[in-house]
Amino acid sequence: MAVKYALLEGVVFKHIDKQFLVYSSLSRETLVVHEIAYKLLSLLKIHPRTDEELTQLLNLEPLKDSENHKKDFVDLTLEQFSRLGIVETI
Amino acid sequence: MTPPEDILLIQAIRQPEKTLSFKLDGWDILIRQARSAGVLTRLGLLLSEHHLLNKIPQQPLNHLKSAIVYFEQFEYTVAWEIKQIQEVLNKQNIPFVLLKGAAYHQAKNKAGAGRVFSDIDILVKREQLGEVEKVFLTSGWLFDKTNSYDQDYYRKWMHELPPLRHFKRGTSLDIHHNLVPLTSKVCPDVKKLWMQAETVKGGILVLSPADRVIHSAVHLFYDGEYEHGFRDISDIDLLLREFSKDEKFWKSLISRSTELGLKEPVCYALRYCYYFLKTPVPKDVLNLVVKQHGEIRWAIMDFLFKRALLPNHSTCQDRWNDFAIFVLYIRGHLLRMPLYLLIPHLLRKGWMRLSGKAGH
Amino acid sequence: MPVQVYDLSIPPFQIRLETDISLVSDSIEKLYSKENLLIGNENQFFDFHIKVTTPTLYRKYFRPQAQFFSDGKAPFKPLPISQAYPFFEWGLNWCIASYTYQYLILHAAVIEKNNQAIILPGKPGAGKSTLCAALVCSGWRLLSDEMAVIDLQTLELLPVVRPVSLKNESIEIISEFAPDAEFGDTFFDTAKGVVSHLKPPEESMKNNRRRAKAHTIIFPQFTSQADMKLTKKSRAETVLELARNSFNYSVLGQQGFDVLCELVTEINCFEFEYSSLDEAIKQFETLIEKK
Repeated sequence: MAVKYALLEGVVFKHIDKQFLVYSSLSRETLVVHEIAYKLLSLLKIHPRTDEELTQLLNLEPLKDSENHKKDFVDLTLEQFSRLGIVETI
Repeated sequence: MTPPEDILLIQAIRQPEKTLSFKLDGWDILIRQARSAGVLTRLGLLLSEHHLLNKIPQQPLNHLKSAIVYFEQFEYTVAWEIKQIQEVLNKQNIPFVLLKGAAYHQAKNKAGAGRVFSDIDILVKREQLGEVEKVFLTSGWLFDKTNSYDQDYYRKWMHELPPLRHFKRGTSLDIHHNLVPLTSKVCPDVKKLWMQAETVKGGILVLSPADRVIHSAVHLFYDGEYEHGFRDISDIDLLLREFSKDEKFWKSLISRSTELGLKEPVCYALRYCYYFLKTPVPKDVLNLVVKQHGEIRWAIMDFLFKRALLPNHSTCQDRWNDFAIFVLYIRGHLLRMPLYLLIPHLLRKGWMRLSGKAGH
Repeated sequence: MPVQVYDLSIPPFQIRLETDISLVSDSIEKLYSKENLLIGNENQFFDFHIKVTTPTLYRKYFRPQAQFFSDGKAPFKPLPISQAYPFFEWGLNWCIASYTYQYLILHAAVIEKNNQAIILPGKPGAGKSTLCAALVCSGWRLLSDEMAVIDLQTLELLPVVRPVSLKNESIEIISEFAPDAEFGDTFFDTAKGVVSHLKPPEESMKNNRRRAKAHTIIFPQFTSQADMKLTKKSRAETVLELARNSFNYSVLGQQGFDVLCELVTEINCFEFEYSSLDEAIKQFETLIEKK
């Protein structure tokens, strides 16, 4: 079974004007993030998902090297968010 | 010597409803006693449990609420730190047992509620110390004490590595391989502790309930540091109340402490918990405790501990407090190191302090 | 000097100060008003018990020092006795920052006019204290020159009216700007240079319990000879920077984040560069006129 990602406890995020903020109670980091990262978190808030599901649901615009590019963004974001106490693998 | 009943903090802990009759000047003293003793949050949570918070005057309430707010974030910080430590050790399949405050937190013991602490303590196997050290040093931790004397002292004689600090988070980690220094008169068989360790939330190991009490008792009555003596006795009181819901606990505590050769500190713990906080220790257990020493020895230990364990605030001390703490400090050292090692050690420490090299 | 005891009301706090150092008692008597003295009855609760005294008998006579105690504990190393009064004020900042988590406290000045408060977050060296002092001497109400104290439920700003601390050139600048302003003693060779304190005007003192609603957040930057420039700052960036400029944001956790996000919503945030105090004040006046 593929690994699923879930939002960690104590994570909040807000949309202010055209920007997106995230706070993690665990790492105590406050960050401004990209809109797609915000959408990713909104999806995880509903329920945990695999990186494949996230890539699909986020409907990222196809680029030249399309398939790999989409996945990389999601993977990179998830990796960063793991280090920052925002998401965890379950 | 101030009887415990005369101390506002002890009154409040024993009977939270008593605070309903406190006036502002009483609260002024109570908040300060609680803060100095390191139990302000614990007091706040206790009053909250008894639905007394909304009856407290606003000014002291602000301080209690502040302490509770601090603790709520602290819990997240601890959870995160434990997670980082677990990740580092799990990668190398190195087992570890969480100790003290961090263990009470992870095991959701009553003693963990409102309990703030500045280091995380873990127990690892002595054979794996080298590996453990390497794995932490390559994952962002550094040694706090870098001079070679301190390094040697810790590794050779103590039951722990010198303290580690994470370079970015600034958090402190103490790695133990036993509960007491190897040079101590009584050193328990650490394998026995591992055998009875339990798994709690997150797959983390903690000591068995009896061992958690024994460790706390050893730490309080053998280490010689009493700055947080009252908080430590309060910890033990809460652990005892929680674990003794199982009636068989008292007997198993006594037999386990005997098995580990640590009956004496546990007897002290039971005696002084009852004295300060009226812990419901059964009469027959208290009688067993009394038999541990003769009358004169008890008179001396009472003189010392009934003072040293009072909340560390000027309103609770008498003119013998400093003396009692000093005597216990020396005793703590003697228990941990034989004289032929202790004297050169203290001399060296004294020299380092005077010449400003100690960094204390 | 025998130990003097001052029971001070500096809303929202009550402080008992004991000192045997005349520099401290002189400054307290000069810079605080009768509104700050708690009268008489025994039944009081003090948020902080502070002592500023000479640490040892030896240090009373040989290179005399002052030490700051908060309920018997000394969080800092002693300072030369000539700095005893600023030591009290810095120490009090530390006490407030360390023990007050029922409010979110930002490192910022707060001033108010026409029921609209402006928060001036403080980068060190940006000139916020000087600007704050100039505004306060021009009819603006002082809430604080150092800390924006925010109620977590209502988001109102609480005043903490205390003497305004000014350093180095600012002292002369404000003395010239407002010749009637009352200053305390000047303290030399401190870690921050030359320090002096401005007594809060009577109007600010009289209103030292009146809360205010935040109207604007302005990040001031004094740049010599620069043209005055007021540029809009993104609200999200403002939240980040306020979080960095806070005494207790990291302790408040999620609640702090929620409060900051709510605070910036519906108010305007600016970066402000200026070189003339008069121009700066005019600009601030126009900001609050637009309702």
